[in-house]
Amino acid sequence: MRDLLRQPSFMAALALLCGLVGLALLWPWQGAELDLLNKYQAPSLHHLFGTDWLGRDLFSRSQQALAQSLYVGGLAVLLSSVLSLMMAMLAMLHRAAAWMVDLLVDLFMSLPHLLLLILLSLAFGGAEFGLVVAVALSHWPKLTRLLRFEMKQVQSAPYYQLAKQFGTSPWQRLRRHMLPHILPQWWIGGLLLFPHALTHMAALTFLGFGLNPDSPSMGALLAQASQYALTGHWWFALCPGLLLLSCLLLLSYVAQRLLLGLRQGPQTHLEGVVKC
Amino acid sequence: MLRLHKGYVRRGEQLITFPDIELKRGEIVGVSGPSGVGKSTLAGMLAGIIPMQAELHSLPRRARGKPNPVQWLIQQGEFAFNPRLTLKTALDESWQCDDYLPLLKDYGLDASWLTRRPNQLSGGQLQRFNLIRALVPTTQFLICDEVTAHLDTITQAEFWQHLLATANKRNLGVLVISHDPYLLEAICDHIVTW
Repeated sequence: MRDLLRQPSFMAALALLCGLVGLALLWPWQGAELDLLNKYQAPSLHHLFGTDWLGRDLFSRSQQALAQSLYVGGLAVLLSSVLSLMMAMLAMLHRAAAWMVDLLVDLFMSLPHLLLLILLSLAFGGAEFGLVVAVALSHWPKLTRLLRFEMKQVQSAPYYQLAKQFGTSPWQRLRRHMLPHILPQWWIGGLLLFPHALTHMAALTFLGFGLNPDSPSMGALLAQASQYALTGHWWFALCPGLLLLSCLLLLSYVAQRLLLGLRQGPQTHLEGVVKC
Repeated sequence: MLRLHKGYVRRGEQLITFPDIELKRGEIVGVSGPSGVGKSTLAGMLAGIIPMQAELHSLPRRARGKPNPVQWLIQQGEFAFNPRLTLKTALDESWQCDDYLPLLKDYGLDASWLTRRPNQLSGGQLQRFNLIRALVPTTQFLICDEVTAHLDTITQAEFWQHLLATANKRNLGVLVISHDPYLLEAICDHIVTW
């Protein structure tokens, strides 16, 4: 871990990501003021990302949208991955529980994804809350299934069975022998859910079941920009899109480096290796 | 006393039957048989990992939350340890104290190796750590499932010398499962053939 903090590329990526997210969260202007004399302005020093068809500053709107998307998407992904870990652990308890979990996973995976999202979003009242719950409740099955197989693999490993021989408690076995092996999977799985969740949120918003189209979100922003893509207003889609893309890429880079650092652990360096 | 009479296990269509086994404390019994006949299944069953099915069996009583008095040594020491834990953590888990330190010296193991992980030790070293881990004070019987099959002859001889000395000192019953007739001849009191 400490070595990771000394790598300039990792620190630069982390700083840049923190800078982008911090800027998005702390940006003071809403970008909601109409300025009809200055509509369709190309990017300039005064308007970094240009202005849209109502003369609103696109940079402010992008910042608002990024903050909103990260918040809602992050919350949904967090809920979803915690749910999948809980379900996978529940399945370990008893054979009946495992049967129930597998059945639920099959059920959720057999339904069309977007339909499920729409139904759940409607059932929970739409808007931000509905969107978060819909994404959280529809994205857990894949990760749960992955974790189930990982856990089965660990359970059949000799060291896990031998740990039982020494009278360790189930909780201790879970903490010491199971979780360290599946947490990297879980962590990466959760991370991979993130862009997935963001696209689905954008899709729901686009279809009108998600966020209010007035409030800036990445999905709404990009959906609206798509109408202007062929009219020469390239900055409508490109600027916010690049912002979102760079944020996601930085996030995945930082997470992967962190994962590598965590996997290596404190003492797998070459100093102590015995030649067999 | 470890006893198994007319033991069997059902694997789908297949029925595996086991030879009758009687093992007293302080005794060394060998089991030999062709490959794939179910020797490791027998070991797993005696160690209580695979449910016991037999007409008559007796195993030492196992207290809740305490180590099993019948300890199973598996063939590959590499798989016996959690790859993410240091050997110290693994041994502490089984012994729940550090009384195993004097044993390390008897088995020619360096105490500084305890800070390493399983992938930083050789097969022979790991197998000896595996044995020490199983030699907790409550152990009465050891099931050795081809433990030295992939070690060279000198390491094998050393391993068995140490093991037999400990078994003698602590009055352990040892069940030796092996392909090697010379090994079984050399160390066992009597041999059960499948």
